[in-house]
Amino acid sequence: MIHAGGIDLANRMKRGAVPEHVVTLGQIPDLCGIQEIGGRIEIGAATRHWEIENDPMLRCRLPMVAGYIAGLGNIRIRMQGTIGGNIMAGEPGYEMLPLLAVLGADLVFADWSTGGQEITAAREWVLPRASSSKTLLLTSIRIPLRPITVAWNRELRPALGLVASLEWSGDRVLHGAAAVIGDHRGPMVREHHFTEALPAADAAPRAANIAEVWADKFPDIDVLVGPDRDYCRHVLSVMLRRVLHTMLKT
Amino acid sequence: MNIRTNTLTQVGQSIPDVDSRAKLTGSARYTSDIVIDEMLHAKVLRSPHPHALIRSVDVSRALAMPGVAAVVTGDDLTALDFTYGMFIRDQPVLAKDKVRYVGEPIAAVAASTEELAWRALAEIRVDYDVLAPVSSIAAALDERAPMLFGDELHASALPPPPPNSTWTQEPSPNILFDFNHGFGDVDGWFQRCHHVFEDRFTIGRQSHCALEPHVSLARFVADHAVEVWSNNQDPFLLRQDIARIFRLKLDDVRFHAGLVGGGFGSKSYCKIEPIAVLLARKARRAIRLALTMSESMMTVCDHGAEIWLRSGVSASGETLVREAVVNLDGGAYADASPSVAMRIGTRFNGPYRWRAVRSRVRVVRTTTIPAGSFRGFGAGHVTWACESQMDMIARRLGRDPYAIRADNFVRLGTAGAPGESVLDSDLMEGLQTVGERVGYKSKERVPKRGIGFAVAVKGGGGSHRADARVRVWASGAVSLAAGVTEIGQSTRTVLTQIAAEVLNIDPDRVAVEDIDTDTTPFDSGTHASNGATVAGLAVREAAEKARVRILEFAGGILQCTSAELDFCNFQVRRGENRYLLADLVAQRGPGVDTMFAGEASVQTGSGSFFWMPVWTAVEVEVDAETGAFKILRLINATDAGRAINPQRCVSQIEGAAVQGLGQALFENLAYCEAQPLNATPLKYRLPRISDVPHQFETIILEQGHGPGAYGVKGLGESGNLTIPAAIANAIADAVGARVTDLPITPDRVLKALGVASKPNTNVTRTVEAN
Amino acid sequence: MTTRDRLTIRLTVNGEAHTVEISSNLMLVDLVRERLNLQGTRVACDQGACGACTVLVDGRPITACLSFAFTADGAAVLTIEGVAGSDNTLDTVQLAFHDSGVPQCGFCTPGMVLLAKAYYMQQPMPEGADVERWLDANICRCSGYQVFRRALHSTPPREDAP
Ligand SMILES: Cc1cc2nc3c(=O)[nH]c(=O)nc-3n(C[C@H](O)[C@H](O)[C@H](O)COP(=O)(O)OP(=O)(O)OC[C@H]3O[C@@H](n4cnc5c(N)ncnc54)[C@H](O)[C@@H]3O)c2cc1C
Ligand code: FES
Ligand code: FES
Repeated sequence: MIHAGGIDLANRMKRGAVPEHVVTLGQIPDLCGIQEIGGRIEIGAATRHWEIENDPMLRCRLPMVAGYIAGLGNIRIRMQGTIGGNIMAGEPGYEMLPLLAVLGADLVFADWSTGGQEITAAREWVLPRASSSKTLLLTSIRIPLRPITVAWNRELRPALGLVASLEWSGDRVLHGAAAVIGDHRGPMVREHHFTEALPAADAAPRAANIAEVWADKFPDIDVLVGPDRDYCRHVLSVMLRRVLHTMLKT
Repeated sequence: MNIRTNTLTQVGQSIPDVDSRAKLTGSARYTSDIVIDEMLHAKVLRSPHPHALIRSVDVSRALAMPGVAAVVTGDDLTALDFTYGMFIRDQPVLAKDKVRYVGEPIAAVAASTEELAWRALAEIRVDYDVLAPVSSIAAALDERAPMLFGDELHASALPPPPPNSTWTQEPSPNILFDFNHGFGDVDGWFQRCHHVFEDRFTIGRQSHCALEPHVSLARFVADHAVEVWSNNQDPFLLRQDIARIFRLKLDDVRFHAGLVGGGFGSKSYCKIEPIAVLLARKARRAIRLALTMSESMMTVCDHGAEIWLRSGVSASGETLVREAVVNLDGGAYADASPSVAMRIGTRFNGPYRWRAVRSRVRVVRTTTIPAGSFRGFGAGHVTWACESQMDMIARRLGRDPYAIRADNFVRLGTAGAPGESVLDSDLMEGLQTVGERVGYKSKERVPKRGIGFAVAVKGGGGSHRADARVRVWASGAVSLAAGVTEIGQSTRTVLTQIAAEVLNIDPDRVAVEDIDTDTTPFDSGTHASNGATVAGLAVREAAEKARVRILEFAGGILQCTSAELDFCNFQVRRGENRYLLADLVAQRGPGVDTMFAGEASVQTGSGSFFWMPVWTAVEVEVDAETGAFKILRLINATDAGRAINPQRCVSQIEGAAVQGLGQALFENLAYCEAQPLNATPLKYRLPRISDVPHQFETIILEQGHGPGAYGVKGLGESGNLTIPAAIANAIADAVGARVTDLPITPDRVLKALGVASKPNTNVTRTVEAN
Repeated sequence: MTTRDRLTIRLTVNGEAHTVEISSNLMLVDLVRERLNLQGTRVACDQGACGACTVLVDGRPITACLSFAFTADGAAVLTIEGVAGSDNTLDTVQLAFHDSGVPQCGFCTPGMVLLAKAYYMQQPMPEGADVERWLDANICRCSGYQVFRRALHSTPPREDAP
């Protein structure tokens, strides 16, 4: 078992899990820290949420990522928890994967048994079964630096939330990606391609239509404790429209 | 009208809690901190099934583990009077033959460490015959429902029904209690009134979630004498329970209680204490049984409920006649349910005058967590339904919800119902206060924003006995003993202030003793907000007696009558002369007692000793697209009679209000097929600071009519009662959507918006003063 | 390491150096409460949800019920017992809490004190309501939280602790 911040590991051990070995990532400097390399930002898997949200470079290059993480859980959790732990815990309600999915980020794994490297798109990532995940070590997260805006809506949390991105070419919107946040079974990312690259000024008045079409692409959402599917579907399109408005304004 | 007497020096002062420093520096000690030499740690095996027969329990592998000292199961109960419950004793100390909810204790292990005890639990093999669950009120009332119990009645100690009431114990196996109450010619008035409105309301189940989970320590000091430490607010009641269950003499059972880390009703009446005692007896060692918070959540919760109200009013909206039918989800065992049912059944008149009221409250058994007492003892249930309906009636009649309340209030000094004690509060003053603060009349209407009110009165302090002892040492110390448990309500502080007031001393000189049933004066339990009022009277009288003894003693030495003397700061004063009490005692020479004690006992009658009113005004803004809403303003007022310590009163009301806010917005123990979904702190959402509106005001009125010392009356249970209804009323005012189910979640608001007849059924805010 | 390993860690707690042998699965809160006998740190939810167990590890508010003791190797730990001065004078946060009447049952209080303290240590120039974003981490079931606002906003912590 890997120990990053140890939050989920500790909770699982309290619920009876007895891992035979624990590998702690805290001391491995290669797994911590944030760098800009080439056209992307690379975040070490053992970097704590708090360090990410306060990283000066990240705040300058991807301010919305810092802002999103600053609203995750609470200060105690962000000071202890790591980005890698959040992803690898495989808890449906955790918020890092939806963000990374709409950013088009990649997860970089080291395979202990082979020593090789594996790269998986965050939006494709599904936690493998416990038996096979043993040998996978998430080493870093790569976020491409593209002309992108991100917005989210957490008004209805913990039941349901949404994070979305729009990619631009100049002042034109090319396409978008949206991911549902919440305690339900994913994966829940849907893209939207704007048929012709649309200037923001033209897209804004059509946000409601776009949101409706976009929201229809999502499957039904079943929240563990919370509202029914119809409600989720309805507010999903409302939230999408709202984040679209926010993104088109910026 | 506020009464203040200038001569008081301690009463009315906002001194910090007497334990404030200890709590802030970490030196405060709770029951969970107690360590007894050589103690063993206990853990409880709990049922994974909502309903099952236990075919066998095999503990041999657990017992064989090194470090495991004892295991107890239902088989260890045979020689005992092994069930408990406040009025109806249907709950076994450990499941015997059958389990009736997920989380029910089946066995308990005592081992040298907690970890070992946990691991030993995993080695216990239980063979079940799984039965169909009974997961809801509707399921329990279904004629084909599986039965939780057989037909025989359980042992009970029910008090006589209150006036105008009858009850039936266990009329059928899935119905624990059927309570009927009424006065006046209900049927006649229904025929005579102009309008009749019928509405249905439901309430989810709230979990207490006090931060300190239940903990008990027990050790036998002789074969037949046991000593128990428990963070329970009823040490004297528990002493009786343990003596009865284990067939011990009452004076061979000794309970200790110190600071308790919150309760809100979860730590009243018998809970885990018998398990600790049972293990201590079997292991012949001291036992510490500390639950996790998840386990505490599975020990007791509030009642889910459905409430039908049929109310008849005159053409002008005069409240005339009401009928209420309530089904309470009592969970698997009785706990305090019969008592809650009785309080609910007798309170449907609320703060208004009715000619006739009839109610029927049934407690239904389901295979879920036993429901027990929760801050307000059912008054929150009543208020949710009644204050919602009051608003609905006003809007249907096109009347101002504020004015219709004002018109119908029970007046100060009159009884709300035949046989009830008279109301000791001016309800109009409170409504005006919150109405003005929220700007009901003056504010411009803003789309999607609305203001809602709710008012409630809850009785308190009845059928209670509180004794107290105050000892004054000539050296300058006072020790105060009373059986009220300090659970965060600052009872120790308030009683200290009362004693200091009588004795004319600095409150710092008073030390409050921890509770020890062998030495502490009796108290029938920390309930019904009675500490400051009933125990306060006893403390005042005890302190007064000690003062009289001091003055008589001094009079003897100074050769004057005690009427010429006064006592202040441990000095006896006679005119301009001052004599240190210590010096006077020394003058008498050796052999003189240096301590002056006073004892007193107060017993209240069976009705409400005082009334706790609460008035709430809430302003909300509704997002009509999602049904989400923001509380912009929350104003809560109560009447302390006299605030012994205004700051501590505010604490109580603020804390209660936010507990009510949690109940209104999201708190709810959810079940799926009798399996709990969120009975654990990571999943059960509790209010945090970001949930609390910045414009949140608490107003403590001091109308001076309380029966306690200096006019005080209790208030600890009032602040939460009205919050949910006030919010629902504000939402209706804002967008016309009426939610009748608790919690008021966004999806429910949206649904209600869909069926709202008109998007905004505004009524004119007339604020007709009467 | 395996979860039954024993290891030796060195740390300072409230300024005092300790060398302790622990098992690798020992929780920080148990180290503090049971091994070092500092019982002011409380365990309530034991799942990270409430913050009653908050201690500061190198100035960071840490959920001691979810942190393994070995992670504090080499660290400076501050528990509630180390907050007041040696002569038991309250520190600025404690004093602000005392003056406003924060403690009710008091079970959340040590965690709240340390959380607020960590905030002021991290943010030398605190901004208005920002401390609330930190306090949002911890649960107080007794108060309505407004008392924390009164303590920390309207009366910013006094520097002149008597
Ligand atoms: C009270 C509370 C509130 C929370 N609120 C939120 C919230 O609002 N939003 C949210 O998103 N999250 C929330 N969380 C979750 C929190 O963010 C995660 O627990 C945290 O990110 C996990 O990080 P960790 O480093 O402590 O994980 P660990 O416990 O160290 O690891 C988690 C799991 O991932 C594995 N693992 C860790 N690192 C790696 C790696 N590099 N490679 C392979 N496997 C690895 C571990 O073996 C373990 O199984 C909350 C948690 C708590 C307790
Ligand atoms: S006890 Fe550690 S967070 Fe609740
Ligand atoms: S004072 Fe009791 S939980 Fe905060």
